[in-house]
Order: sequence, then C-alpha cells, then structure tokens
Amino acid sequence: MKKNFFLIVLSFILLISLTGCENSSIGIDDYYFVIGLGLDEAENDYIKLSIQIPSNPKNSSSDASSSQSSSYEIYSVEARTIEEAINILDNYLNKQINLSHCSAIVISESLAKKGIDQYINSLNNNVELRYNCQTIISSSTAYDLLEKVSNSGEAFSARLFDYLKNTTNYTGYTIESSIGTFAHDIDSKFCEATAIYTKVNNDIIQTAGIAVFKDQYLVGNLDVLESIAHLMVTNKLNKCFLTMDSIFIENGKIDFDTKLYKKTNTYINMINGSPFIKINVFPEISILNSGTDFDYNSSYNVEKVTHAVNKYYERIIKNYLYKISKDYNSDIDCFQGLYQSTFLTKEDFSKINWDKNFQNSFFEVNVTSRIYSSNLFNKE
Amino acid sequence: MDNHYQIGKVEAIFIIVILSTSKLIANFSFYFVNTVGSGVIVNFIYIGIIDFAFMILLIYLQQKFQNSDIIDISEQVGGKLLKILCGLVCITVLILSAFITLKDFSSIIQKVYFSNFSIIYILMFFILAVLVANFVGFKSLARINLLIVPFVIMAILATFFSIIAKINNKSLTPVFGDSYYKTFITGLSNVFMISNLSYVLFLKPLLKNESDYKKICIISYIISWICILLVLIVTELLFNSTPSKEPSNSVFLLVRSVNFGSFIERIDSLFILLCVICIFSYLSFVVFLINRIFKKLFNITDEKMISYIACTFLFSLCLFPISLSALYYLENYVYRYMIILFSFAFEFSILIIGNFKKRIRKEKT
Amino acid sequence: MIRFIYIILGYFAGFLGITFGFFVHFLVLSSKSSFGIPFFTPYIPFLGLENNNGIFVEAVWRREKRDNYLNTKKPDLQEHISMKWRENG
Repeated sequence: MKKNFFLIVLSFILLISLTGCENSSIGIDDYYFVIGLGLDEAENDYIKLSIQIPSNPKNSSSDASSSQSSSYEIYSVEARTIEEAINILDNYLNKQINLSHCSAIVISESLAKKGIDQYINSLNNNVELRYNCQTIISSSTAYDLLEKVSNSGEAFSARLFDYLKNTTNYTGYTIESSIGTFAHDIDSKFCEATAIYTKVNNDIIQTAGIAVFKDQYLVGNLDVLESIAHLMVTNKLNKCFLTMDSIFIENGKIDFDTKLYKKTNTYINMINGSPFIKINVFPEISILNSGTDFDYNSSYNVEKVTHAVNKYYERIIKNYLYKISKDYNSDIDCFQGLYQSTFLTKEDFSKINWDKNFQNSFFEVNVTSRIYSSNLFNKE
Repeated sequence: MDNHYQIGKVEAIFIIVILSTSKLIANFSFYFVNTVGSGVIVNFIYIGIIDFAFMILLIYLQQKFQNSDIIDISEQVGGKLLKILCGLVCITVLILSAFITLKDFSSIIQKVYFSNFSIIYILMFFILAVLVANFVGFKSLARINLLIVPFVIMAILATFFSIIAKINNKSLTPVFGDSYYKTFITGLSNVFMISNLSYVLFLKPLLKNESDYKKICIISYIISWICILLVLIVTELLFNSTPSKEPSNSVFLLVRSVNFGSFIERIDSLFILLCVICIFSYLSFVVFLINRIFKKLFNITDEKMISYIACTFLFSLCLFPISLSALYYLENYVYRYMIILFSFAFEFSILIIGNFKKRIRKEKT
Repeated sequence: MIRFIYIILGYFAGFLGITFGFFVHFLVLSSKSSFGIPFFTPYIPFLGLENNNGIFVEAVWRREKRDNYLNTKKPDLQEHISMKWRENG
C-alpha cells in the first residue's frame, strides 16, 4: 500500500515537472480555418495559393442580421510549393492556418494540365486535411471560383461545395471526387483519376462534367452526357434526367429519368492485340413527358420507345468510350484493373502491354432498358 | 503485487494476441505489402500454413519439458553457458521489438498531435506506464489486457468493414502478385509477421493449467492471423503497394480515411487512444518478460527492480538520434531476419537438441 | 479526488495523459479485491454471467441462485417457485 502511494506521488511530481508542455497548446481562436483552397498557375513555375476564410465578425458589415450569415475573405500568395505558401500566409495573417475544415481543393485547368502530382502528394501528407474534401477543377482560375463562392449569397460556403458534389445524386452530371480517392487514383497503376469539372457563367458556378486525368496531367473533360455514360459504366449512377427526340411526333421530345435496375457487366478480351470491351447496361426508365398523343396502353408503342431509348444510350455510351480511349487514352473506368484480375500474376499481364493498346480498343455496348409507368394522365 | 500469478486460458490467449498484433501499429504491414504487392492474401495464407506447421512442431517438441520456458530448456540442454546466451538473445529480440514499436508510434503521435512537444515527454509517459504496470504486478496487467484486446479486435474489424466497401477492390488482383517467385520465394521472409512463435515459448510456466497450452497456442495464432490479414488487405487496398510512399504509420492513415457521411469523420483520435493503451500493454508485457529472463539468468529475488534498468535502457535507446532510412533498414531487414532466425533456427535447434538428449537419457536408463 | 488527477493529466498531455491515467487507474483497481473476490468480477476475470449479468437486475422472485464465484455454502438463494401463494391460488 505504501509503495503504491509512493509511486503515485512520484508520478504526480514528475508530471508537475512537465510544465514545459504548458505553452504548447493552441486554442481554437489561434487558428484560421480554411473553407476552400485554390491553386493557380503563376509565373516562373510558381503557384498561386488562394485560401477562403470566414472574416472576422467585428469587421463585417453590421447589416448582417441573420445569425447564420457570414462573409468570407480570400487571401492569395505566390510561392514555389503549397507548404511555402501556407507558411507565408501564416506570417502575413498572424494566425496559423488550419485545413481541418477545408471542404474543397480547387485547381485551375491550366495548372492541372502541367501536372499536379507534387501538390496532391503535399496535400495528402497534410494531417489536417479531411479524406473526403472535394477536388474541383475549374475552367477559369481557382481564385475566380473562390471569389464567386464567397459572393454567391450562400450563408456557408462549405455548403455550396457540398451542393456541387451532391448534384451527382440527382442529375448525374458529375462525380464525387474526394482528395483521398483522387490521390489514390493518381498513384494507381490501373485506374486514372477524375475530378469535378466546373465552369463559371455570369457569376454562377456550374458543374460542367468530369475532368479526366492521365497519370498526373489533365487531358480533357467530359460533358454532361458523357458524365452520365461514365456513371452508368462504373455503376455509380443514382438518377439522371434526359430528353430525346420523340419517335412519334416531329419536333416532339420525350423526357425520362433513369436509374440502373441491374449492375453493369463488362467483359474484356484481347483480339489481335487490341482490347475488345463488351458492356451490358441495364437502365430503368420512367417517362415523365412524351406529348399528349402517346398511348401508353399499346405495348407496340412501349416497345418502340424502349428500342429508341436503347439506341440513344448506346450512342451516348459509345461516344464516351471512344473519346476516353482514342482522344484521351485515359482508362478512367478501370478496365485495366478488371482485365488484370483475370490473370494470375502481373508478369503475365505485363506481356499484353495494356497502356499502349488501350488506344486501339473497340467497344460493343448493349443496352437493355425497362420502361415503367410514370402514372401520367392520358389524352382522355 | 504478485508476479507468481498463474494465468488462465483466456488471459494467455489475449496476451499472445496483443504481443503479435501490436506490430501492426508500427509500419510492418506497409513493408509486408511492399514485398508482395497484390499477392497479399495468397502470400499470407502460404506463410500462415508454414507458421502453423512450425507451431504444431514446437508444441510437440515442448511436450517433454514440463513447466519450462525456453531459458529452462536451454539450461537443460547446454548448461549455464547456453542459458545465459539464450537469455541474452531473447532480451535483444524483445528490446528491439519494443524499441521499434515505441519509436515509430511515439514519432507518429508527436508529428500529428503534439507537434510542439519534445519527444522526451511522450516517451516518458510510455515508460512511466510500463514502470507502474510492472510494479503493480503481472496479475493486474493480465486482467487489464482482458479489457483491451476485445476492443482492439473490434476496432480492426470496424476499420476493415468501413474501408473495404469504398476502395476499388481491383488492387487485390492479380491474385498471385507480381510473379510466382516474388510471392512464394522472396515472400517467404514475410514469415516474421506472425511472430507468435517467439512469444509462446515463454508462456508455459505462467499457465494455471499446462494442458491448455496447445489450445492457447492454436487459438491465439488463429485470432492474430485473422486480425493481421484484415489489416494487410486494407493496407494493400489503400496504398496499392507503391514503394515511393513514405513508410508512415499505415494503420493511422487507414483510420483517417474512415467516414460515414459527414456525421462520423476523423475517428483517428479515438483509434489512437486505443493504440496508446495497446502499446502500454505490449511494452509492459515485454518488460515483464525481460524481468523474468533476468531473474532466471542471475537468480535475482526481486525482479521488479530490473524494470528500472529495462525502462531506462529502452528510454535512452529511443532518444538515440536515428535517421528515417536507418530506422527503415532496422525494421525492414534487421528485425525481419532476426525474428526469422530466432523463431525458426535458434528456438527449434535448442528444442531439437533437448528432445534428442532426453531420448538418449531415457534409452540409457 | 481522482478526477483532479485526470484534469491535471489532461491539461498537461491531452488524450495521452488521460489514457495514461486510465491505464494506471485500471491497473490499480484490477489488483484490488473486495471480500476476497477480484474487483471486476464477473467481467475480468470472466467467470460466467448466467445468474447475474451485472447490468440488468431481475425481479426479486426470479433470483434463484447465488453467483458461482462467491463459493458460498448454499448455491441456491430461493426455491424455484418462491411465491407459493400465487401457485396455490
């Protein structure tokens, strides 16, 4: 008992002597929490780092009556690397910058085309950054996008970045791209990286598709139809809404929304040294509007529409597949990974030389759609 | 206060599990994955079978030595000289394991959570915990372990199931890795990963019921094999066996990527809490084993005082300035081959010679 | 009293200090026994939870057996049917 007590007292004294640790704690008020981080190209191989931080409430206008509103400030600095830029900003702002609440990393298109491996590596090594912070490629400069986000009228900018990401759930026009999976795919040997692609039109930020990377370089972007095709091929489509020309009425349109009722199947073979990729897609269609003359009760009509929708999707998906293989040579659908899994060792797979042959791929797309009633009123 | 406490079956199983799985907290899963690439599963099953076979052989060889650990057996085989040699080898292996784990882990938490602290304060907490644990006694240590190990196993399972669904599982193919030679021949050195063989030989004198020894060895082996396999799978999924990546704490990085929507994010701090307790327990057991070895070598009555020496030595070793590449070399080459030589060559040779001597003695009588 | 130690530990070393405090506290408690029975029985060491799981308390008339680890002379606390007046009507 005495020994225990002695030990506890001794430990206590030793701990008191650890007062050297006292001044090391940094409170929340000593940080600036970054909401959005932007990377732009600058002269002489420098980068321009921009950060969006909530401004000091004392300095903001006193008309801000809503308790939820806040304004943001953007600071930029030019440096050779991200860490150097953050260091300079720490000094300039007199408070330490903390990336724990960063919702988005915005990279300008021009910088992404030059290669971003070292910046992504640097961000990935940062212990503060969250794994699911979004990666956005902006057609204009990153500073421009952050400025538009700040002036968008949205109370919390972090929410706006979330909305950009969430559009994939109901429009299918882009993808979710977290910094973790983005960095993983950039280093990955069998899959190329993709990111959200945005455009700024008249002070409004729009998701405009998917940015396609080959290794660490941005090679192009996919438009909205191609993004939907990408989501269908990779089984990530939640829901999307499309319009096609009506087959019954001239100048008429059919609106429908699509989900997938079955997982997309992909079969890969090598024929004469070129990959032959066969994809079976199973969309479930719900017709929202097809004009007042369309008779839903006739199975002949439904069959005709099914056939038309199948052809429509086949065309979109084929255009997308040939674009990524011939124009970009970028395997963003992980076909290499899928084909590699049929081999027993990487040594056997390396004899195929997939990297060179992917550009010569040819595709076959089969779409088997199902049309469901959308419970619309008929003409009568 | 009782170091003559005899442990039951469950306590022994959990002690061996914590001694084996604590190396996951250091970077060993990263080195494993870098050696074999995507052939992780096949390689681990292959070395698991080899290890299991050696374990069964070890149990059979040790059957004739009642209530004896490796130090007692070496005394019976080669007298006092071999006993001291064996003791020193065991102490070296234990100190090296403890040093690597402590150095790795303390540098990680200093880098991430305590960037303004000096590493001396962080190490001091670990050393103090080990000292207190050894003074309070083996009984309490075995009992606190019963609480820790289920949480460690649950954490490993939770990490596995939360990551497996997210990452592209094509990382695990081709199944046989880069080549058959790399998976089966070069990958044979990965047998260090399940180092149960090093620790079970100290266990027999501590058991309440010696007949449980076989069950304890097999059950603890299976549990640690499953835990290590799960962590290796998610390490390969996340790191894609990229050799250019810095060997940082792979388990910490795994847990950083776990999130369920935006509600559950960044649970690495909770995980680190569990890791810290796991390391406390592991180091305390290692120092306890060192105390026992010293007691047997030099007939010391009160082995608790050896804790001071062992802890001070470990502390000063951890403060030794060592570069990252030297630490990498130590972990990936020195430790790996030392465990292999110790577990498969040294221990088995002593046991085989001991069995041989016993048989000759029996034939003479 | 012990909460002040935890507060001080937490101030000095954050979660590491709290974990250290928890570990040492638990170690000391594990070495204690109350009336000869280890402190955390039946959880540590695990001695069976058939009669009493330590979380939910059964109704008085359902408590039929005493815990095994107490090593009592009479293991039965009461008969199987203790409320005889209900049985007899």
